Amino acid sequence: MNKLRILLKANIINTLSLNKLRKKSTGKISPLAILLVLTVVLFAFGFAFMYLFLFGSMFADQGLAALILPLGLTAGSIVTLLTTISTANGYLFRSRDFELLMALPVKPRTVFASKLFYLLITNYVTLLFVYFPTVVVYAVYNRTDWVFWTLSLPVFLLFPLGLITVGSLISYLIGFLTSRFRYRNLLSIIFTIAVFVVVMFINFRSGMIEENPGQFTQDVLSFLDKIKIGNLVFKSLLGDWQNLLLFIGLSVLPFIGFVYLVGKSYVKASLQSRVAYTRKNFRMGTLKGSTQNRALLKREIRRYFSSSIYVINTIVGPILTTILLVVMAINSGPILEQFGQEGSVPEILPFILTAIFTAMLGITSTTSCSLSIEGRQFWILRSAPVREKQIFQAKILLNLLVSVPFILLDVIIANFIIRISLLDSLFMFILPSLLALYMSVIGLYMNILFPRFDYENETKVVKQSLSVLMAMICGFAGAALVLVPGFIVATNVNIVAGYLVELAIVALLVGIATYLLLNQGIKKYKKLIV
Amino acid sequence: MLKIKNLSKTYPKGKKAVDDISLEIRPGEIFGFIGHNGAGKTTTIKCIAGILDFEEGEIFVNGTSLRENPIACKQAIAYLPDNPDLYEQMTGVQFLNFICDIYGVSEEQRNKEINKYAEVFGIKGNLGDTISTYSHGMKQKLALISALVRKPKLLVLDEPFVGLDPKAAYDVKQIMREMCETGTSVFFSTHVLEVAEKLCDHVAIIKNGKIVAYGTMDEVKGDSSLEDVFLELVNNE
Repeated sequence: MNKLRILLKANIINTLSLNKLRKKSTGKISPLAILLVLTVVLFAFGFAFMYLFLFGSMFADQGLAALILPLGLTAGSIVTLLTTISTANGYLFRSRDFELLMALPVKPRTVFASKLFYLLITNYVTLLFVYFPTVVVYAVYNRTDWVFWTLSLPVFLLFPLGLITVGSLISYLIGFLTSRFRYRNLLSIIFTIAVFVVVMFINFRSGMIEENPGQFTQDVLSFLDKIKIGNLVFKSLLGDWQNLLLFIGLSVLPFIGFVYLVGKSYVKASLQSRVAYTRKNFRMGTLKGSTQNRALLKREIRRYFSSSIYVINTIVGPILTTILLVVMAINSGPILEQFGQEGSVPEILPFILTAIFTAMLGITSTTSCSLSIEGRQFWILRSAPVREKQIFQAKILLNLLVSVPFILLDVIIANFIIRISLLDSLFMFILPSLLALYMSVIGLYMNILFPRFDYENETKVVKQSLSVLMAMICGFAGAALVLVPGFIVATNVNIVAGYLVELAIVALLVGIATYLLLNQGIKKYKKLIV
Repeated sequence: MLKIKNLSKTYPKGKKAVDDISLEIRPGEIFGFIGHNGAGKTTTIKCIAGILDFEEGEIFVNGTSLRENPIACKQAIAYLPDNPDLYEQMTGVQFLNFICDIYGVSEEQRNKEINKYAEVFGIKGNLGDTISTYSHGMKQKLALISALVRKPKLLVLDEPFVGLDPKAAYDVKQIMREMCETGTSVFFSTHVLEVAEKLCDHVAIIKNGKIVAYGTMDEVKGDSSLEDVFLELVNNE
């Protein structure tokens, strides 16, 4: 147990870079760093509560208050499950520190347990911002008793255990099955996205609101009951002892079994996960040359698709939006019926759809970690005879290649659902594309400001780095800055004026971000140390 | 070919890693750069390769200022770090082709040279595999090939013999000599003093960021061995 504690402590210090919080001169944790962390935590809680109260009041107005908790818990479960599927194999079985850890006089099972506990802790941190705000908002709009509050903490502690077990197993299986193939990364990405799509498709299909809220509540509850995610936790929290016991059993027993069984064959599992495809009888063909810019872009594309976590983290948003649209297209009959005659949709609807596309598709950013992900290989670009602008251009183009085709596809699908004018379609394409350009540029700038080259696992860079968080904040802020004034103008003046205001603001944002990147960004880039 | 004038480099909130060093390497020379761990060798080499910014001094490559025209200088240099971290997700041949594209190597030259050097280093059959499957030595060889195919004017190598098998180490030394005969200069750091003694025309010893000995091999070592001179200089506080 002592060794497990030591390993876990070292893991947390190293992975979360906690030493950066210490002052170099005294070695003590800087009060400024504590203040910064507290501010970020408070902001995150503030945002979480704000959003949940917003949704909570909407649900309560519709007479759907009972759904707040099961839906919130289901969302938390899905996030935990999908995050684990996309990260666990890399973190548990393919981590760079494997050889170092195996050389230590520690049982492989202890090493595995320390990694799994770390995964658990990071999930607790994420869940903290979903679970407790959901519980509080639910309690505001529903009657709760002392059992509910007494059980809320133990249920929180048990909540991710089963999900991490299932997610890790799926993640390992995907990694294991694809390891023997030449295009293992691509296969792994396809498998993982397929799992995501299935989970989300089921959820979206069940989410079509019907006219009768009471019936809808029952439908959703019965659906959640069928898939068992979230609802089991919900019933446990309400003091349903039978479900609580089932929940405890389903969380604790598989987790302990997983630690025991996989821990027993951890070395074998890790080595199997590391098996790599090699070609026999390779014959070199004639090599074709290309320009510097093309070579840089091709390299960016290869780098992107070589990392399943990188792809999944950035492409899931656009994919989910597209699935949502496909589901809506399938159900377009009932939707259109709600507007009366087919085709006569309110004028504001395409404008709102454009806003949704802008907020969902425009904020994708592959650039917010594209510099950090170079890691120790950054020397190749730094010593190459290419200008900084060329490197930036390749990274920005990659983000546009990832996001713009989805925008175009979604505009086409939207045209199948409702009749949209050419002007609406044009703005529906241009506005999200311009926001995607802003995100590409500001994401890269954030990565230059907050780079992280020393990582053992890509998850650290793709999901846990400051640059990604800052880019996300810039994305949300950017989307709000564009959409809120646009909406005000569209509802008070006219739709076209609303579009034009949005266009002007997003163009201004692109301009500001580009100025920052090409001036401060290049200067900072030149001073980066690997 | 390479001229360093009063170069100093201080890391942010750190110590002065390189302190006012000056040296010159002429075309066709092999220059050995020797020092203990943390002496400032890698920092100097990274400054020459254009990877690290420097506050004071000047570096000229083939008469061009690195500060004023970094692209032209980088075009003339082939740099190899002590640990060959290459693009692991690319195959060997994809990596070499990428480097050739970036350095503008003609299709004819790249096809000829890659075949030639891959044959010499015995990794031709592995070029279709992803670099992540390579051993340390194979990565080192691939990095060397990527440097050689572009026929640089200045070869800057940080500990080039680490991880190489004896045959590959011998081949590298031979290639370094051959390149020097065509006018290429070689600047390399090493801890293997016997290699430096046999291979180098000129040598510099760096200690705590300062050059403490510099000249032709004979001037620096005199009648002693390079190892004796090095130990005396390093131990002498």
